[in-house]
Amino acid sequence: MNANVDSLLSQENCDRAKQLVTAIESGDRENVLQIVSDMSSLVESDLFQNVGKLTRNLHDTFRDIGSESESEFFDPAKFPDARERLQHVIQLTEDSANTTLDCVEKALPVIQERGDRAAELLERWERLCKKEMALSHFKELSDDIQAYLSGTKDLSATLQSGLNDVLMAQGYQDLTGQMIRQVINLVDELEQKLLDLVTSASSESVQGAIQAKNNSKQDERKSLMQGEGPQLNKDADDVMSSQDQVDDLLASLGF
Amino acid sequence: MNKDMKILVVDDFSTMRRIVKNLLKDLGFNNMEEADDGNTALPLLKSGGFDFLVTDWNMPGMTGIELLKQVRADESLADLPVLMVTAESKREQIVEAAQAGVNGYVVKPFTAITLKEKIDKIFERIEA
Repeated sequence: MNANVDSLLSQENCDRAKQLVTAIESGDRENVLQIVSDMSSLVESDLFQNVGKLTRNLHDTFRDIGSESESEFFDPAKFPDARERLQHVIQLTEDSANTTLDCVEKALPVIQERGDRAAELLERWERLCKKEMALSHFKELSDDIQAYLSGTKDLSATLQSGLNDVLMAQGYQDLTGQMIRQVINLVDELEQKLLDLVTSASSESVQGAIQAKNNSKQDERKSLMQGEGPQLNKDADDVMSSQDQVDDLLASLGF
Repeated sequence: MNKDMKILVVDDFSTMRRIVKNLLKDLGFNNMEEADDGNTALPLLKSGGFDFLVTDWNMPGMTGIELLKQVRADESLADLPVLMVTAESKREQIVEAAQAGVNGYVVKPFTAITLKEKIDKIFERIEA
């Protein structure tokens, strides 16, 4: 609002302030109320203009992102949850990147060594084919080729397991995607509420938002059935923190 | 377990579908199709020929739990084995899935070994 402070420093406002002092000194209640109300409306209209600008920006930003989710109500309590979700996204992407990089760093030199060794054996083999190799060296070459093939067989199994680790590490995309989607929904809600605020510019819509928040309990089951994505608080009583716990629960249900 | 059986993999994230398909391939299965939510999965299932359904829960459009209920309600699909692979991990949800007739439940993030164990268990039961 700082940019609009200048507009408050007008002669008109100075005169109003003087009138206010006079009115207070003379005990003119009606005039005091009138002047205070006039002056506060100057600030209020600035406030609404600023909220309007903010909302417009948000609206444009999220239209660009292409979010289409419907807003129902806005619950400010969701903000800490959103922050935690984004933190968790950072953690998951970092873990996954590290797992992938570890596997790649382990595999690259091994593959390189295999390639170099193959090139060397191939050269000796070609010499043998062109009969440029003394027969006495053939035994040595054949031992080396056998060792190479056996080593390659073992390596193939190791690489396969490493590549499977890389494959599994990509699961982060699904989990983080679900979390980010929830944060986008939250920002959508915020945007909608700001729009409502500007549209009506009255206290009713804020009351409505509070009312809607109070109805949120009823939406809990609906939310469970739609799916909530990964649970951040693994220690909560109603959350299964591991596959073992899920298996135990299913076993208790006769599975 | 018949390695030629036809499997439908349902998840709204294409990366997860690729992961599951690759794991299944590693277990020797090659006959797979995919769908991105219940709405696209159900007509595929109804068109016939599927022996196994692997589905996520939280998807836009029709969720996995709704898909499971629709499958069980359809006479021709009622006996189709269904494995749920999902990040949904609340007690109430797992109980709901069990009551809806799920055959196995794997929580994400999961391991290749867990997936194999659950699939083995499902088909051991069916074949027993």
